[in-house]
Amino acid sequence: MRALWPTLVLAALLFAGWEAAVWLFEPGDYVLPAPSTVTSEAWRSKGLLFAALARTSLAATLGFLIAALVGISAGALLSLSSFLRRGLYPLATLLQMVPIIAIAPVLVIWCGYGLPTVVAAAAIVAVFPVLANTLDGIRSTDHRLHELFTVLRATRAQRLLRLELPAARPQIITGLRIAAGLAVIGCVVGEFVGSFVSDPPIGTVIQTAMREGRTALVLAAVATSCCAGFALFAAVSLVGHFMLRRWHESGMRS
Amino acid sequence: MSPMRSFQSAVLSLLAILLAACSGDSDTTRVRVQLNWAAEPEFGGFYAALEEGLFAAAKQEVQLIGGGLTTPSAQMCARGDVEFAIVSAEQVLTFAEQGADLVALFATFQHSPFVLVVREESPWKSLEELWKSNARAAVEPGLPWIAELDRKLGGHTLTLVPYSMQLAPFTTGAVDAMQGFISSEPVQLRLQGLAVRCFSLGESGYDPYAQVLVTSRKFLDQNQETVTAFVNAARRGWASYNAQAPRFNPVISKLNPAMDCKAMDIAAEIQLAIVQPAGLADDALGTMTLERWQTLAQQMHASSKLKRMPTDLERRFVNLR
Amino acid sequence: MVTAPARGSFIGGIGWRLEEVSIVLGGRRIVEQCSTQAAAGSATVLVGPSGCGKTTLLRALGELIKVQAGHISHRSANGAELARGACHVSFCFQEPRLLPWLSALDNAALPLSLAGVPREDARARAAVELSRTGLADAKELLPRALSGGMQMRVALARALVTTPNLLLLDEPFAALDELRRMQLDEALRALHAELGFTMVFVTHSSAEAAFIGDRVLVMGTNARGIVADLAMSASARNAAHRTREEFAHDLARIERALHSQAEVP
Repeated sequence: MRALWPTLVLAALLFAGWEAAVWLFEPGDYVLPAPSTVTSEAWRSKGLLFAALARTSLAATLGFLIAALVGISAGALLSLSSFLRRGLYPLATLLQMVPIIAIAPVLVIWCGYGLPTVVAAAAIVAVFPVLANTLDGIRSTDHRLHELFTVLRATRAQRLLRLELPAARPQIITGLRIAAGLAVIGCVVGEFVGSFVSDPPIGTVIQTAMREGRTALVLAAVATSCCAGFALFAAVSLVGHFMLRRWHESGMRS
Repeated sequence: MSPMRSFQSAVLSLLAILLAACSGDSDTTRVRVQLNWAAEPEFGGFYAALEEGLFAAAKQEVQLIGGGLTTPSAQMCARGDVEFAIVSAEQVLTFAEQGADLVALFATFQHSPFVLVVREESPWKSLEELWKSNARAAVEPGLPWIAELDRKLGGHTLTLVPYSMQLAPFTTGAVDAMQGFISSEPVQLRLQGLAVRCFSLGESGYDPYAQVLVTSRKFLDQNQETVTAFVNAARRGWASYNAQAPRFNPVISKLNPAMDCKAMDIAAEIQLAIVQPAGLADDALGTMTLERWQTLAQQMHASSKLKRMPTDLERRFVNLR
Repeated sequence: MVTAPARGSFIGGIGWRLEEVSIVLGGRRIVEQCSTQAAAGSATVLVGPSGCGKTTLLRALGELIKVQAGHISHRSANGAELARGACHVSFCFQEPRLLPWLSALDNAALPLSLAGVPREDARARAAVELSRTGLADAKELLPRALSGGMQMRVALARALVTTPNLLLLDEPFAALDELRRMQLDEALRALHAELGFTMVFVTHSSAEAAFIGDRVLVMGTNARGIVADLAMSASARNAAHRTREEFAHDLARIERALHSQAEVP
C-alpha cells in the first residue's frame, strides 16, 4: 500500500490542477469538462457504464486469450523453421501496420455483427507483440544451454518444450502485458463498427456520447475502458509474478 | 551606401515583397465552412454560390471543407476553429446545453431527409412495422430520432448496429435496413441495380430542420455584416442550384469520387421537394420559424435528449437578410 | 568390426581412440593429424596453454564438433569398436549450465527425464547422485540459491546420473577458489574409483593435471597437437597425495614439458 502513495499524490495533484484550470478558463463542457463534472456524469450513468464495462471486458479477454494462444504457438512454430520465419515474419509485421480502424468494416462483413467481430479486432491488434516476444525469447536462449541439450541428445520437440519455451517465459510475459492493453483498444475499435447499439459496450457509449456532444460522458467512458485494460494488465502481471518469482529477476519485484 | 547597409535594405525590400504577395488583397475576408459530409448535392447551393462568384462579389474568400461521419463540425465552429459549419438542428440545442452558443442561420433542408432504406421485396410495410420486427438495421448510435421513435412507438425490437459510411453491409445482406438521406443512399443503391423502398422519418412526425448552417454567437456579434452577406450569397446560390443542378454537379463530383454526376443529378432532383417545398420563394430559402424549433425542443426533452426545456429558443436562430 | 551392445546394459568405462584427427575451426587449423588412445577406466588429462586445442579435442570426443579428417571411436574392453550412441557419454562444461527454473534435483534428473525415464525413478536416481556429491540438503533449491561450487556439483551429479561410460570434463572447477577446487578434484577421483567410468579432463593447471590424471597429455600451440605423453604416479589420490614426493616429481615433469615447447617458436 505504501508503494502507491507517490502515484496517489501525483494523481490528486493532477486532478486538482485540471479542476482549477477549468474553473479559471471556462472552456465549456463540450470541450473540456472538469473532473468533478466527469465524475458526477459517471455516477449518473453508472448502470450504463458498468454494463458496458462488463461487455467490453468479456470481449477483450476473449480476444486477448486468442491472441495469447495464437501468438505463442505461431512464435514457437516460426522458431522451428528459418524458412517459415523468413517468409511469414515480414507478413506478420505488415498485418500489424494495417490500422484496425480501416479493416474493422471488412471484419464485420466476414465475421458478422457482435462478439465475433469485436473479439477478432481485439485479437488482431494484440497478437503481434505476443508473437514477436515469444520468437525473440526463444531465439535468445543461451546457446550454452542449447549445447547442453545437444550433449543430452534431446529431440527437437524436447528442445522447444523443455528448454526454449520455459526460458522464453519472462519475455512472453512482457509480450502478454503489452497485448493486454492493446486487446482493449482493438475491442473498442471493433465496437465502433460491429457492436449491438441497444446493449452498448464501451465503444458504442463513446460513439453515442460524442454524437451528442456529451464530452463528460465520453471521458467517463474512456476512463472506464482504461479500467478494463488495467484489470487485464494486472491479471497478466500477477500470473507472471507467480510463474517467475522463484527464478527470474523480473518476477521478484512486486 | 556601405556594403552592409545596401545588404540590409535589399533584405528588407525582399521581405516587403514577400509579405505583400502573401496577404493578397487585404479587403477580402477569409471564411471557412466545415461541412459534416463529403461534397454532395446536400451542399449544392454553397458550391453553386462559390462557382458563380457570389461570395467573391461580397468580398469573401470562402473555403468549403469536406467532412465525414466523425467530423466534429459543431465543436469546431463553437471553438472558433472555423467561422461556419453545417450541423443538425438537434446539435444546435444539445450544444447550447453544453455551453456552446451556436446560432442557426440557414436551414438547407426544410424537412427531415432521414429515411430508413429496405429492399423492395422486404415484408415490412411501415416504419412502425420495421421498428417492431426482428430485422437488423444500421443506424448512427445516439441520433435523436432513434430515441424519439422509441418514445412514440414504445421501444424497439429490431437489432441496431452501427452505421458506417459504406453500403456493403446492406448490399451483402448483413443488415436488412440502413439509415440514409433520401437524396443519397437510396439513389446510389438504385444505381447499383438494387430495388429499394424508403420509410421517411419526417412523415412519421419527427421533422426537424436538417443540414443547418451555423456560426458562433461571438462571430455573429462581431461580424454581423459579413455573416449577413454570406447568408445572402448562399441563398442566391441555392436558388441557382435548385434551378440548374446539372450545371454545377460536375464541379462537386470532382471533389467526391464516390458519387458520379448521374447520381448527383438524380439526388438533386429528389431533394428539391424538401429543400424548396412548393410555395417557398427563392428569397425565402433557408428561413426558420420559432414554432418548428419549439416542436423539436419539446420532442427532444420528452425523449430525454435534452436535460432541460430551453427557455431562449429565439436566440438559437436568426433569419438574416 | 562394429558391435552395438544394447543401451543401458553397459556399465563401467570404455576405451577411446583418435586416429589421424584434424580439426579446423573458423578457418584455423586447431589440431593436425593427432593420434592417441586410452583404455577403459582410464583417467586422462589434457593440459596446455590457450589455443592448444585441448578443449577442441574434448568437444570432438563428445561429438559436439565434427572432425575434418581422421576418425574418433569408442572401444569396448577387448578393443572392438562400438557404434555411436552405444555408450553413455556425459559432458561437464566450464560453467554449471543449470536450467534456472528447475530445482537442483530436477536439474540433476534432466538427462533421465529427456531419455523417457518415469519422473519418480529419475528423481530417485538423481537424489542418489546429489548425495554422492554432498548436496543431499540442497535438493529443492533453485540454482540462484546455490553457490558456484554447489552449482558445479549439481552439474557433476547430472553428468553421473546416467551412469556414464565416458565422462568428459572441460575445466569444470576453473571458476572456483583453490580450496574448493582441490576438494572437488578429490571428490571426482573418489567417484572415478567407485564407479569405474573412463574420464578425460581438460585443465590449464599443471597441479590439477597431476592430481586428476593417471596419464597427462601435454599439448602445444600452432596445431602441434600432443607434444608429451606422461604417465603419472599410481598412488591413491587423496588429500595427502599432494604432499608426496611423487606428486612434486609429476608436477615438475609436466611443467618441463609445457615450458620446453613454449620456447619453440
